[in-house]
Amino acid sequence: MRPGGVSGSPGAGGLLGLAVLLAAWEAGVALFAVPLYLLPPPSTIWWQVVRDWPLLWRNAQPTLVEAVGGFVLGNGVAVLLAAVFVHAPAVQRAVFPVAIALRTVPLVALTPLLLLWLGTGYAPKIAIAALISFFPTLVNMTRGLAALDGQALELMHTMSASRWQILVKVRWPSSLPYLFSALKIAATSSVLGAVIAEWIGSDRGLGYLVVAATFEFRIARLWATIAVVSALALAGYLLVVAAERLVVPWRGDV
Amino acid sequence: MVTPLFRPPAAPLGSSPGTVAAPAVAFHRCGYSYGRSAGAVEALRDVTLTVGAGEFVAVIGPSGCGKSTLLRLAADVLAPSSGTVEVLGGPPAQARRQRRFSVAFQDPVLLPWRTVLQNVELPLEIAGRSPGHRREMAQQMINLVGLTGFERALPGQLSGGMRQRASIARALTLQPALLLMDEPFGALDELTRDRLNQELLDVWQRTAAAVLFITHSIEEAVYLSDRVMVLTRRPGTVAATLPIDLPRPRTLYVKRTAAAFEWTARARLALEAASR
Repeated sequence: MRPGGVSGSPGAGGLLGLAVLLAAWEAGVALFAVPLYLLPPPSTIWWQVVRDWPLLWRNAQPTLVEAVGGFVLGNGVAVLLAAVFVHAPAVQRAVFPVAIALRTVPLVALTPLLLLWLGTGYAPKIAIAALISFFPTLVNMTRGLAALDGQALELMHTMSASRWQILVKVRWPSSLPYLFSALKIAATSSVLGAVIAEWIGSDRGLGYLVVAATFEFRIARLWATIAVVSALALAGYLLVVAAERLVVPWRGDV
Repeated sequence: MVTPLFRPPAAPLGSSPGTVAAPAVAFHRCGYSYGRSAGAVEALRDVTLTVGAGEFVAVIGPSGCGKSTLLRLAADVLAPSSGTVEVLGGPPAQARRQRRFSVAFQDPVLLPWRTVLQNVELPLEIAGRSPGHRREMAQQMINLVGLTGFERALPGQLSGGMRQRASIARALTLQPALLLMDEPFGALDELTRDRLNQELLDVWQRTAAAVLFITHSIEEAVYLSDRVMVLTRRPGTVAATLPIDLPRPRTLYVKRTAAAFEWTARARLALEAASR
């Protein structure tokens, strides 16, 4: 077993925990006769997902496009900016505080503005998903790229390595564990960002479906949509975990 | 005063390299201070020390006497506050750019995502050598330090001694004229250290590189080197020079001879005097 496995993957223990939770939920709802509109049991939600699958799948597609687009854009820009920061501390001192200040602006408040600026297509939703992925990755990557110990840098200096060689051969690989811990956050939050953006101005997508189901008081469908959103976020997270296993096999050995 | 008619020829500093072997390292009245004028800490003062071509020189001294600073001056990591440093007949920066020396630290500083082979290839890769040459050179050095069979292992899978071997193989791949070693065996257990000491001597004898070797261990310094330099407490300066005339090639047997014990005792006395 790898020492990183405990925090890295839900694994068998996670599946067991989920099963126990679902069983308790199912039993609790039956035991206390909770009305459907307050909390449907997991079995009902499951059958609703099966029944609504064509609708859910049709609406999951735009959400997926937005989440993946935002994930790629937000993380890409964050990584590039972090690389600039490491090589130009002056830029970091100027830009970093602004970036952190921007982070405090609530995204829900920003969404109508982005709709105004970018229209009602994919663009504003991708922008929100990108923004929500951007900050954790920027902070983590800036730390990761700078996290080289002094001796490794001295060694590279005595080998007369160029800045580019140091970036590509040492800084980038050694920052990958930092990058992946940020990507794990971004994988779930980009889905949530896309859904939130759809609440405000959209006629399709899982976020739209949440709003529509609420208005029509279709509680089971609302829960089915929530289940699909969670499943998407979890799938994204698991994909990142799998990618980390492939790309950072030395993790935990250092 | 009588002026001699014939002066010995001046040291051939300006001569082209290759004609006369310049010393591998020459510190001349070198001083170094950390920090700015007000709260500066003077680490080294007035150090004059040479390592001849192909010579093995060890530097010992009390903790914090600036031994490592000395090595960093030669490695062009630091620049002296006063005096001059020459490496292989020119400024340290020039020797570094020509890749004529390499460094090994106490921490092997292997890149954990690279296999042993890839780590040993790193200096060649950075110097832009062809993949074929890289592979061949790295393999040769891996064989030299006794890591054959571990080429594909990651550093995390190796013992401390094996990591240090890999670090030394990496330092050798560019076939440097000078090796700068900063307590490379300081973190190893005694038996491993003994074995690596002997292997280092084997390697040194086969490569003809000069070595500047920083260490805590008096025994190690005596066993390995042609000369042991003893530095004083901070600010460090040369307190004594011990020309170790033990026969070469030195085996572990030499370590147990009366002559070796005597040199060790003398080095200890010199170190104690310098630590006061």
